[in-house]
Amino acid sequence: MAGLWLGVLGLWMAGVVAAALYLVPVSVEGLGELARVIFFHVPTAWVAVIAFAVAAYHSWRYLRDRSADRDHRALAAVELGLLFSVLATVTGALLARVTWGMYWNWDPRQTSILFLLLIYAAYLSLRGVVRDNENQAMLAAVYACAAFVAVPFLVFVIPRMTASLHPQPVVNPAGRIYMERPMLAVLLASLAGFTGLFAWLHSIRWRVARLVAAHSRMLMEHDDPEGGARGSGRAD
Amino acid sequence: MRGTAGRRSTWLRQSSAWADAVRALLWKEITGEIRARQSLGLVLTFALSATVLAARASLTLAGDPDASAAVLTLILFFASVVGLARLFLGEEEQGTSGWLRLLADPVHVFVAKVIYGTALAGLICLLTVPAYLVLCGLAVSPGLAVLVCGAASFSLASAVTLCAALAARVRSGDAMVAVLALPLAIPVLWTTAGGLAGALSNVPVLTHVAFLVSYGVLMVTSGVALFPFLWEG
Repeated sequence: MAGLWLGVLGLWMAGVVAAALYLVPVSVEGLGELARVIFFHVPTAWVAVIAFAVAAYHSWRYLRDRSADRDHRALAAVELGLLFSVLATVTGALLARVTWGMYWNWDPRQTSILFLLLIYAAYLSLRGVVRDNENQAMLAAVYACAAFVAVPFLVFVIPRMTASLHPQPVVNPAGRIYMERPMLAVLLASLAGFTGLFAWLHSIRWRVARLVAAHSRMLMEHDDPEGGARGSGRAD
Repeated sequence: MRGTAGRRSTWLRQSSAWADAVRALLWKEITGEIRARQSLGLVLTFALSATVLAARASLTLAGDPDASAAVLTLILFFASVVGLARLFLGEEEQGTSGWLRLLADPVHVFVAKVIYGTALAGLICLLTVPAYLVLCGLAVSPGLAVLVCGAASFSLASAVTLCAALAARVRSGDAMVAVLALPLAIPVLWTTAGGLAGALSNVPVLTHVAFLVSYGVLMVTSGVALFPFLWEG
């Protein structure tokens, strides 16, 4: 079943890439062929926000039931969220270079995604300074939940409070879609594909984290049978 | 009818008990500060020194409301973090956190700390904003400045208090407060800078104030939900 799902995802993404790069005619003034980056830029930003929402959800669940699995899932989601945020920043900088003449010009949307990166980099820093597994997971879960409060403000509110050169996003206050139909279709397909890609990467990443945790617990128990059992504390 | 009145009376009794508990904890913070006389003096000295240095360094920017507002916001943030970082670290160092855990409800503790933090940040605003304006020879719309500073103090305190509680649980907590709080306070700083620039240019700042208040309310709400895990965990 997983193989079938993966096959469908692979075919879907191949179709999206082909359509985005070769099949769909793009018509965005001033961007030319670079407008095709939009098919990857928008989904990466979308997936970053989804990843942070997933992290907040699993962190909250961790606080409720203290299952190490939830902590691994939250950590995996934050790591992927950071990865997709970097991709969104880089693709955005490429678009900015062509349209505004420079890679970085402190546009509210550019700045918002950078702030998201900083917030979740602090999450990783917090995990880095705590040695005890349970304490680390609990503190990180609290921070991830609090950090998600800032996300809607950074993604939806601040960019609308200050003047921006950024094109109107697909979800905009006017409730209108400023895009040709074929482009929109590919963009929506890309959004779905990237969301599936995130789900797949997330399932791999948290299972790896679970294996790593089990392996280090096994090593601790091997070195110090009593202390190892005490130190790990949690069951996956 | 009697049932509704009874429910209302129970609700009033519970609210009153809740307010009494928060008031008692707030009083503990204030009397603790009055007795120790360390943290407040330290924070206000830091705020004043930073203001004088920043005002001297940014004299050439004084004509630009955006730049002046940004400098002022940074002073407010760092001075507030110096003070708010002690909210929980002080309890851990003095060994009073154990007593608090035994005697007080975590939500009451958190709300009292946010109120105290808001007052502290407000005091810092009261000192630094007029000092910076006088030193740089700037004029501001007083009503707008008070509105922005009040909302910013609340919003900043609500974001930093939870981070201070987190940092109290880790090694080198003092440094961690800034690391954790700065990213979470970025929306507050961004908007405060915009609001102060508006106050300096005498343009409406209601959007900024509304943003700061709503961010603060959401942070307090999330803090009320999350702090008990941190306190009891």
